[in-house]
Amino acid sequence: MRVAWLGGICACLALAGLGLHLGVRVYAPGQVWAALTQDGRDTASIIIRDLRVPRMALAIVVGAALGLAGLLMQSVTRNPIAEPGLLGVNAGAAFAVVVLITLAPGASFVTLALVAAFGALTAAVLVFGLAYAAGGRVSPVQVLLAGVTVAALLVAGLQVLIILNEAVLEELLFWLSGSFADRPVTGLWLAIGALTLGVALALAFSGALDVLQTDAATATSLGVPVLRLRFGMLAVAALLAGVSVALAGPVAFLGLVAPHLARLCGAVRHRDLIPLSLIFGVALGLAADLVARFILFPTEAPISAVMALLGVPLLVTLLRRNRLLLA
Amino acid sequence: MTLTAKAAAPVGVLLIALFAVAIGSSFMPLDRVIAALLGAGSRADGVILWNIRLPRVLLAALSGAALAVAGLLLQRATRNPLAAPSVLGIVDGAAVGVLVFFLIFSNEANALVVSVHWQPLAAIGGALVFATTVGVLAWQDAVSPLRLLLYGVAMAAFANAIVTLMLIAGPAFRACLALIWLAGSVHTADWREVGLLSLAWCLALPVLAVLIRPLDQLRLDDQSAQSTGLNVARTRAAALLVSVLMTAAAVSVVGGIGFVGLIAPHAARLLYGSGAGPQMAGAACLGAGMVMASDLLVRAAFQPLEVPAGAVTALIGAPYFLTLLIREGHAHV
Amino acid sequence: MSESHVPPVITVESASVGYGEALVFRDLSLTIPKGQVTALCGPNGCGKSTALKAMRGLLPTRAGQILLDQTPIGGWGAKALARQIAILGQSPSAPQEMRVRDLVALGRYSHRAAFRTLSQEDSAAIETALEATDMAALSERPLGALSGGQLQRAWLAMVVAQEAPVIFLDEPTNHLDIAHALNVLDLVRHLSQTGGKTVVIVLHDLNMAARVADRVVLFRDGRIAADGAVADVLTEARISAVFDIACQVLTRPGSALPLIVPLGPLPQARRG
Repeated sequence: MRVAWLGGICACLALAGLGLHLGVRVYAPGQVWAALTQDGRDTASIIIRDLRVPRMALAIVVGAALGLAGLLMQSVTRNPIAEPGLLGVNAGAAFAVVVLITLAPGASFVTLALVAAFGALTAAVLVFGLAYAAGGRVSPVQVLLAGVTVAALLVAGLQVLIILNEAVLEELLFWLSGSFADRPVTGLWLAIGALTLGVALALAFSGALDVLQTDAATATSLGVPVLRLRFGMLAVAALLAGVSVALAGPVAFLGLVAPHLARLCGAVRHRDLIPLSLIFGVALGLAADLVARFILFPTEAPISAVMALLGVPLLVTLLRRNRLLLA
Repeated sequence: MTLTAKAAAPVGVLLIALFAVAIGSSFMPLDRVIAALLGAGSRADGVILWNIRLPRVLLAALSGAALAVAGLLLQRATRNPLAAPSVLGIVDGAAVGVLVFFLIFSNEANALVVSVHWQPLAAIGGALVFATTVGVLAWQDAVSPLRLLLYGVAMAAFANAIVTLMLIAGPAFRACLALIWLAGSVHTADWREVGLLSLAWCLALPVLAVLIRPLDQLRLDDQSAQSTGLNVARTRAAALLVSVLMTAAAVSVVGGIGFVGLIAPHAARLLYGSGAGPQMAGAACLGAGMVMASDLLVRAAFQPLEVPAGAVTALIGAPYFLTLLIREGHAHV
Repeated sequence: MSESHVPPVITVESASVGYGEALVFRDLSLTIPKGQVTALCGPNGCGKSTALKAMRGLLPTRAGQILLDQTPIGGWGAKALARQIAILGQSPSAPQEMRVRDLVALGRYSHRAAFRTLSQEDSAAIETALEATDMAALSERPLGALSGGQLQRAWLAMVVAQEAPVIFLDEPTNHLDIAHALNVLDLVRHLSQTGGKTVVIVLHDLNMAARVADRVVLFRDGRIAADGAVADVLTEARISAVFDIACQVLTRPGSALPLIVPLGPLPQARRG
């Protein structure tokens, strides 16, 4: 386990370093160090300090947030394939944001993030309700299909809204495509706050989350308030997903893969799962950011596309080796 | 279900078809429609009807029916009421096929060097490649519905990512064309495409007829079905294959129209029961009606904006699906 | 150890069967005599259900072979095999809204030619099956509206309608109360004696086995521990060895059949 921690942190540091070092222009480590420590005004320093550091910070925060959101969704629903992207939660956030932008174009980022979180939560409730109605129980299959259905519906709604509202089209398309570059840094502090809150709550309830991995009857008899805990943690996951979507657009698969990588390292209790999911989430976010710069060189690729390209092969490998612990 | 309710669907579909033919950039009243059909009307009417409206309406009907039947086959094969063709990565795979087609067959001036009529084949090719990948990945002694759906969703996302990247990498006008096709629309219909879909239907019908009784038997659990003499693996594979082919054919000409495959089988079951034969016929009928109605709505209500029919079927279909589920309380296949 | 004057209909020759990586039994040999009721008994996980499924061709054999009427099981087509052996598993399922009659009709699948509606024989078989299982009055009810006992009888009716000369039953009395369980056992005896069917039945309860079977095969850890007539196999010594319990075997009042009274688990030191 200690190997996993060390390995994960090293990977994050290495990726972060590469993120500062590589790009349209490659800067030597000496230049990077100088830019970070001194207050230089040359091109290198400006690019590194004002462009790369913010986007790296964003990648770290969003990666961690989505990793934790995915873990919470999986734990709360005892469903190994739950995550904000696949289950329409991100689509719900995106839809809410688009509605807001259409109705109130000048909204502040805080409003945007809160509306996104609300949309995320509504979508999550809708998905689980739909799955239950269609099968009488909330099995992974039903939830996956319900998520895909709800996501498709929301995307269709998005399309119509976009078409009907040419004025906001460009701004929306840019945001929907998802990127860590050129984003308002004000949002970053809000995101860090939300992440800190989420991590604190998750860690506080990590014992209860462990108990929740048995069935509802057992958990209740052991004193865990099942319904309240489920809804509370789902709300935290929605907050994290909503803030991420508001900042960087919808990103799928990160929330699915990061917790499973954590489990692959042998973590079982949430005391270990939570930090490892955060670490692997950060690593995936940084990796995606790096790849996004190069895959369509010199154009930037959207994070959502890059994350799918990275995440799907990982998912397929996990599935082929039966490591996804599907029933 | 009463006889009136059962008859309402085919009659309703016919009415929609009539309206669809009558309405467009100019309204053509019924008598002129019939005259043009019989070849006795004015030349202008004849051109509009035969070259523009009839292919469009027929395409909508054939593709809607194909998607509905594909959805039914998928739901029966996986015994899951929420399965739909779009989750198997077929639709997004077709998109990759179309974009690759544009990429390979364009010269430096960004013009197509081969006829655009080859596009549907590229779409079918892309769809088959992705569907086969999903099938091969999911095959581990047997096809578990969860694994199949998970691989399908994953490959769909993968295809989507490739499409997004290609759209960004390529020139803008091609992106526009591709986006329009992706969203699902019927408005570039011509007789060649109608012919393609008709061919697909001719090939599919005999197979569907043979599959009806095995599909009824598949309502039992796998072991009981096998005990009564059904070759479960073969039936499931055949149903999935036909579902993929019909979806690929439909999507190749009309793009990503979703929800028809999800909803039409359920509505058909409510009207005509769960015997595979009547349900299949009913689903085909309702699917045709759904897509024709969506296309009609797009032309009548949203002109001059070309709202994609795919978005309309989703927006109408999904809430209807939700109310279906809530009323039923417990959806079945 | 089969009785030499009764022809075997199913022969298992040194077969090894398992799930995934693990083998449930290895090198197993067994014959099922025609026209009799054979009970497969043994502790949990001993391989009796696996053996039943393997003999019906639902599980592949890793080694050895299983023969039905001298032809390997794998060589039979799906419908042809269904006309020979019908099996009722432990957890069958069908849509809740299906009517009993429709369920029973599904049992005729292997007899029906493509594209033809139910023939005279099909309808007659369905009626006979409903009568035999006492479900004629409930034939129009949906499965979801049946009690546990009625549901089990509906499934049995489907199996009977299949009109196969060999019937396999995997713990058919598991969730039934005593009255319904006895009904099922009586039906099984009736099918064998009057209908001439060969029945192989997996049972937990040794007293039920004694009541319904002509032959008993005791399994333990994937091996056959005993195989023979009921009175020969169900003895105190054998039962103790296979089930790790102390018991007393009395004679059932009014017949020559054994009545097994379990006394308690054997202490660890005395287990086999």
